[in-house]
Amino acid sequence: MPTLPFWRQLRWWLVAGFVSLATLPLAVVVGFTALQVREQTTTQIINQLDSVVELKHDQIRRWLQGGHTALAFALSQPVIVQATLLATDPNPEAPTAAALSAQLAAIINNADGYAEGGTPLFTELFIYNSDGVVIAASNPAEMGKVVSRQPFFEGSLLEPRTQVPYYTLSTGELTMVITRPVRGGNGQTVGALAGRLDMRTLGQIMIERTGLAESGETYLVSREHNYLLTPSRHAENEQNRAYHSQGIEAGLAGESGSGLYDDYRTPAVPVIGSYRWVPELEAALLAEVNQVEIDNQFSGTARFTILMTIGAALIAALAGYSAATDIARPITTLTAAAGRIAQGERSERARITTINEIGALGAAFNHMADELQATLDGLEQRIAERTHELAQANAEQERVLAELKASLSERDMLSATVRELSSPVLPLVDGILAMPLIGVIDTARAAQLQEALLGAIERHRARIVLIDVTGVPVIDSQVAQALLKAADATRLLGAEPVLVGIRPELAQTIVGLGLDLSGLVSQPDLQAGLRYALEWRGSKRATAPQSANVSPN
Amino acid sequence: MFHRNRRPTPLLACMLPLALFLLAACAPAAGPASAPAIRDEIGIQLSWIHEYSSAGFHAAERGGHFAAEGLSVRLEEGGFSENGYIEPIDEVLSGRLEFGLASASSIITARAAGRPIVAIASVLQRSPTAVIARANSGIARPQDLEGHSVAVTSGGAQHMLAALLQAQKVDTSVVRQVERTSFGVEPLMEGEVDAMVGWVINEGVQMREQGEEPLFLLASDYGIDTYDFVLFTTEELINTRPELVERLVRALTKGLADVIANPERAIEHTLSYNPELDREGQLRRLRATIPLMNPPGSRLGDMQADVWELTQEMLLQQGALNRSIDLGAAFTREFVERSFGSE
Repeated sequence: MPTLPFWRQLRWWLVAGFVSLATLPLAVVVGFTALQVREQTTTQIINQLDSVVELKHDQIRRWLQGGHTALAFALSQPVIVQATLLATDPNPEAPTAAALSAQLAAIINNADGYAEGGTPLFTELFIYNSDGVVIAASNPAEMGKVVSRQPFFEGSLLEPRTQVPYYTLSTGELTMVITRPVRGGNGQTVGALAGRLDMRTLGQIMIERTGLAESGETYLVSREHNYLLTPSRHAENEQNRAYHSQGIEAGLAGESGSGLYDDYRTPAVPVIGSYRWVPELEAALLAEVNQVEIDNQFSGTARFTILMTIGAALIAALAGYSAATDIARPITTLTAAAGRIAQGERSERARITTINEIGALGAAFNHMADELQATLDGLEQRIAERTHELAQANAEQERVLAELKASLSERDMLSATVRELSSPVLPLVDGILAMPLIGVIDTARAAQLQEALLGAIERHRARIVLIDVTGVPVIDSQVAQALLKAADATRLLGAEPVLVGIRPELAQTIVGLGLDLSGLVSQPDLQAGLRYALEWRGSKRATAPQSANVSPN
Repeated sequence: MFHRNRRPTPLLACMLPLALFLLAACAPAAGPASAPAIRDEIGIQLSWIHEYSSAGFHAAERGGHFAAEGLSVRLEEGGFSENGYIEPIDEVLSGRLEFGLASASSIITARAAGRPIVAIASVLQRSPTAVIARANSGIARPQDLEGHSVAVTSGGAQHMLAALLQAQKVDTSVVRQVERTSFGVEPLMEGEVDAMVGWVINEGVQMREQGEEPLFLLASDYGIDTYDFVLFTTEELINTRPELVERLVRALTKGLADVIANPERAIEHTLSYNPELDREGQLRRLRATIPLMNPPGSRLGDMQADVWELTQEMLLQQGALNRSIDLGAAFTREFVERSFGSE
């Protein structure tokens, strides 16, 4: 049996079928689960980001609260008295101013109670009077400056204020100032105590990746020109540049929410982000993680399911192969047996022991083979018998043929005799021969007739030959020719041919055919012929007959 | 004077209906023409060459804000010609151009001289003028200048320094003022002087570029402030074409907003006017300028009366002005106020 290419082999088809059956539903389930898991992961990450935003906002509020508490605490100290005095007589060089400045510096240095996470709360503290002139400052360089046109000045004499962060013009640094009015002994506002918050603390609050993945980032974007208020985790992004993203715009528009969008970087990175408007800073607070984090978290589940799928596929392939082999082996056996039977080994039987449909097929096959063998054997027997019969019939036929042949040769001899007998030449009287012709004359008989006639003329030294055609039913041109030839030959031998016995219908035929028998003496019958012959012989002895054509009638 | 576009010639006038008909036939779906029907040609005399300081104007032109207001604007660069410094006030009053840029002190001085010009917008909200020293010079306050030398150009810069020292009660007799001889920062870098009066957006950046960390005593931090880039025009134009002035101011504030939003693109626009400029250097200077354009609590193009008063006070104290003028006529917030919110 020729080997089939593997893609036509049943067993591989079955293996492929088993594997597909095992993996396709699994793949569908895995895919569906994957989508769900991904969605859940996204929701989980968003929830995480939302809590981070909440946490950071809370930290910012506590940080600002801490700043105001510190300012309030400072104002409760004796500095207030000195400030009141100074406010009425601003003289930066006055000893009181120096003392007050030293005290403010001490408050800065003595960070206890004001610091958050180890970083200082303020970089400097200063007091300005109602004209905005700085009358005391922890940083001597600030003394004498006029803050009346600084953004934090407006309203700072009326109530505690938190100025949103801005970039200073002189240093270009991001700064944030909180203020509390300084009131004199009579409750009159004489100036304000200002604290310049240490922005590193805000940066620290924002950069701590509380519960965020590796790519996580929390940052603040100011409404003022979309600048960053806290450093980007990506060093190439300067703070004082305008940054835009869907999250930033939404946050700056006062919305709180979350979404999947491209972040502020160039080129933008797809992130999951949570955003919130922080009114205290007039900024958008954003917490974002790279969207690949979804896949990172998801990849564990994915790996497990992929392994499961591969395992299932392998098991299915093995089961498929085994089942296919079980099915294919008896079929192959059956095919081989059929092949051998076809080659003539009629006693060959398929050895199939399986008890199932294929076993039944094997049994049926064997039964069929038995039947086939029986039929073929019977057929051969009958052929042999028939062959024997045929041989016998043949021999009989041969014998009949031999007999037939013998009979035929006898008939030939008989025929020659008949032929001889059919053209007799009879000597009537001396010198006169008669040749009575009976029956149909064909070419062979004509030749024989001529031969016999000439032989008789010579033998009998005949002078006249009477050719009697009374017994010839038909004279055609061929017979006429033969008669003329015979007559000519007769004359050559010196004898005279006389045609007798022309019947009227014969004469009619001869005339109808246009035959010329004028060279022949014709007599109506043998009797007349004989008479003529005798006369001719007698006259011959005297005179030759006058006319051969004269008929006695 | 400004020029309206000339009327179409008779030939054009004949062909126009045909062209319109064809257009209408070819593009039936086309909407109404977006370009305003009015188109005014105006000229602006800048106070310096095409560079970052005029970025707002470049951005307004290249960003299409002038065109959107129906303005065809010719930006003429200033600086020095063979006849000396091109004085924008002279150029505008001569009628060659309609608008110009000058400092608030120049405008006050011109008004005092009876010249009818009016300030309509200020590009910067704070003066970039500062006493600049090396960070390690030990100079941290104006008082520290006592016993040191300061290089300063006469005129506006000197008035600012004098006002600063006076306000801070610095003993001017022990501050050695030296006339600045170069635009560069070399005298300071080479130790010839201890400080110089310059602009944080120019000399300050220049020092950083040369590897020296500067220290600024920004005049505005000490309540000494003025407007150095003020857009002005003639009283006549304000009276006859107030809507034209308004359109220009609105376009300029949009240009300034564009500069702040995207300094890199703004520098590209500036470079399109002057390709010889060093892109990076210009960008650094522009970045330093942006905080002065729009410090918190201010609005683009705006001007405050107290800064004008401060400027006049300074001029009076320094003897550059011998009598007060009516500042209410020297500047008007009418046009910038109308542009608020449009940027």
